[in-house]
Amino acid sequence: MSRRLFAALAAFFCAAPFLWLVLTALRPEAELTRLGPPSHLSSTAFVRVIREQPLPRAMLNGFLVSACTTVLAIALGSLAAFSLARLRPPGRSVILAGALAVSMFPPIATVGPLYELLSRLGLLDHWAGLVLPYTTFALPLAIFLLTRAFEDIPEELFRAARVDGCSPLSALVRVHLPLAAPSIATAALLVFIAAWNELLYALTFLSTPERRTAPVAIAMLSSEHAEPWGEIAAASTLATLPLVVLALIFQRRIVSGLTAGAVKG
Amino acid sequence: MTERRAAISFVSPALLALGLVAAYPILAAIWLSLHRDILVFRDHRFIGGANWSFLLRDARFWAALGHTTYFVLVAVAFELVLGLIFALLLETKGRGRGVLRAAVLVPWAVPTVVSAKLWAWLYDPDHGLITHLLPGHDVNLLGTPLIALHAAIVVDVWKTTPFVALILLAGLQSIPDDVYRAARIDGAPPWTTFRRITLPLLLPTIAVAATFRALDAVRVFDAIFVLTDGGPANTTETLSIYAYKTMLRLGDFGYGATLSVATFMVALAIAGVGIAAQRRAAR
Amino acid sequence: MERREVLRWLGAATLASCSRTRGDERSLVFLHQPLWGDVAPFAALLDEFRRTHPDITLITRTAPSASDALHQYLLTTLEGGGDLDVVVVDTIWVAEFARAGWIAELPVSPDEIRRELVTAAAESVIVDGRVWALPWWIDVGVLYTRTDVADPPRTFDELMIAARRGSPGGYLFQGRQYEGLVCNVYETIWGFGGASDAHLVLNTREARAALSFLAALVREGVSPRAVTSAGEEECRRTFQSGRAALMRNWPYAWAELQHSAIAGKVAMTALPSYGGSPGNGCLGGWHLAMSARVPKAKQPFATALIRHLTSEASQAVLARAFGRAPARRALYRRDDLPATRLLEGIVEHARPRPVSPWYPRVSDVLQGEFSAVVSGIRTPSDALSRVQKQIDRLVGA
Repeated sequence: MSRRLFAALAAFFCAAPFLWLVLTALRPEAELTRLGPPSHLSSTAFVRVIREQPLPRAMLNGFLVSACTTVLAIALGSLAAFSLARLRPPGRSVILAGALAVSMFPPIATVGPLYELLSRLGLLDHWAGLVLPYTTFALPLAIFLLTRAFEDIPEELFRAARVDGCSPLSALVRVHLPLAAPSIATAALLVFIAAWNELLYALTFLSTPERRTAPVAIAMLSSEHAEPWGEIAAASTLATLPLVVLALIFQRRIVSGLTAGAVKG
Repeated sequence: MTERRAAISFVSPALLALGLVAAYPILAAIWLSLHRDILVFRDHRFIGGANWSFLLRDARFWAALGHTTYFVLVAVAFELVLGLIFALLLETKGRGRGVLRAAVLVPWAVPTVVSAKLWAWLYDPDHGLITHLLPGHDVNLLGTPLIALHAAIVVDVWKTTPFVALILLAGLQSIPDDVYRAARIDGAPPWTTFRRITLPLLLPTIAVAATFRALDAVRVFDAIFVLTDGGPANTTETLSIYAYKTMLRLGDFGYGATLSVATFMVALAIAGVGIAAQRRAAR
Repeated sequence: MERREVLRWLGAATLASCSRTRGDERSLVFLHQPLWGDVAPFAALLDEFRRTHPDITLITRTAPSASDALHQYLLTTLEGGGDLDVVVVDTIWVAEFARAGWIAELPVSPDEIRRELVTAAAESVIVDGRVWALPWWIDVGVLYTRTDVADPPRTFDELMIAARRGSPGGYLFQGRQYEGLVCNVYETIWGFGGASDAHLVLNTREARAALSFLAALVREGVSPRAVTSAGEEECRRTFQSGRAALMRNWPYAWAELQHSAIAGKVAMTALPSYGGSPGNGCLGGWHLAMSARVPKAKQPFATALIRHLTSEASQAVLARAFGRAPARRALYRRDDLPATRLLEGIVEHARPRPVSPWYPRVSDVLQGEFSAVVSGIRTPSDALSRVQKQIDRLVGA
């Protein structure tokens, strides 16, 4: 019984602040500073945010960046993971250690030189320019999850495919990818969410308001002098809702993915 | 294609990305930290270790390091304790488990920016819910030097306890049932079981969770940038914030690179400690 | 990494994309912040330019509205060779941008602008005897008083008394760690008779007195603790909801207050000073500058745009439609601009912050130390000696 109480408190601690934000977004403007329940629910903040701030554009930019990052990270990650799991390249443990080291980098340490790199490639202030760093920093996670997944597939299947005349690439594509599909889906989810939420690189490499991704748009949301809390709450709710929905639908997957990825490390 | 060639070529694209986008910038930053490079004054020359010797004398750097260290220690401690409680709650079967698991994922899914804005609203000195619930008048959590950092810690704890809870949950679930059965047969009370059996078996996982979280906490940027921008009086300025301001607000790339590399070294140190701790705990 | 590459770091080479037209020799790209409210009058000004200059296409771009974000954007774009031609710059950036070679000298004589513009505005764009930007609209720090609670104080003592005794009482100012705090502190330093020249000597008696005064306001509760994280809007909202007697803010708040419950009970005056003479308000606002990369053939057009937008007629439009205080003296004497008229006496006492290429870096140091004093964790003398040490290292090294 006290267990039930603790569980309820824990759930409250986790969900209540976010629900308060959503409530703030739905309050009519005049009642924004009141603390009791609102007299009615109003969608003005949402309408304003969609019409006057470039939030829909920002969400589209974010979606493009996250989708491309996910595809690239899974593609490069699967290749690398398959190699590490089945093909045993030389320096395998060095590669794994290197990937681990990269996942420890403070992003601030890489901001300056990356700026120069993107500038030389002509990718500054463009959503495509974010895909490069995002993919790179998503690789360690993807590689860890997928290496484990491929290792779990019995080696005999690989041998059998080779005997049948498959090249390593087609063995990967025809046999292993379908079998590892659940782990791939999990990795894709985690990468997508991480890319959607990233702030520092997006803040540094994007400047024009129409180019921003959702987190930057929210951080920069301001009218002339003020903090428009109603609109901030509405923008935040909109930017977060897809993720929360994704997280709730794929709960089990996410939980198993996070735990597998971490415990392995 | 032979397997050996495939092995190398499959792993190359990923290695190329990692090398270009991760390894090269770190080496470039180290090289840049040996230069005085101030944008506005067109000043760019090699000065050897002068940036580094200034770093050692820079009170603001030591303050930032102190704030970062404090943040890491306190935040991670809370996250481990709360995470363990959440994990224990999630482990027992019961009707509320699905609801708790769903609730627990909400902070994890929310972007850090949004979590910071959300808590900034709760902390608002005029209209925030927390300001109203706290006793006394004229409460201003984010504007009070010693308190603001703790307010930021609360944000971090809220956002990342779920992640820690999930890791610890996996650790709990990997403890074989026989161990518990044996304890139950011996008639051990639950607290003793926990202390003598569960906790020691869980130590490696705790070490992993602590290391991951500490590495993330050392790099903390988003929450503080949005919540306080380093204020009041630079008392919430962490290493990342100081480095960011130096590079992009002041245009001082030489010293900014020095600060960034220093942050990286702190992260490496933590990783080293964490790996050693995990090895010890696992034996 | 060679030197040039490192400097190119900051190049925001914005590639042409499907949603944005890139500037070229036939077009003039004008970057400005969004104007709030009905933008039709401003659009009309731009159309007028288009009509009188049919040979060139005017393209407008919206900049981030937050000052820091805009500074970062300009730092990267102007350095890296973006396609901006005419840009808005904050008053405190002119010397820095001129030194960095990001903006070009304008073909305007210093005497001309000293004659026609408010003194402080003219001084803020003249560096080394040359003119680097034209003031577009300006701001000046002012004092708001609830006339039903107290008379507008002239001295610091009167301010303290009015804030302590009034009901509602309290004096609101911007004490958060940001540029606004530096404005407030400079105004207080000037109120104590201190100087603030480009030589950046700050460890003075007047500065110590000013910081002690501000720290005492917060410590003794004359100003609520909330000011240590308050900006302009937080102060305005508190004042507007009737919870304070006095407020330091910018003129923009006047228009807002006219629509509130305390309309008619508020006076906007010059800031107080130690001795009672009208205090110096900090000069704020925005100037128009021309990018240094504008090719010779386009420069006349860029200059023409800048002159057009800063002409007397245009500034009158801005004053009327958007409540922007003009930079031209003549507009303060006109009868058809009543809100501007209110600032007539105050604007001549405005004073710019140090016009120095070091200022933005110095300001970063000042913000941290001033915030420490206002929140009570450092004494004024400690803070000022730290400030002086850091400034000397920055400037001298």
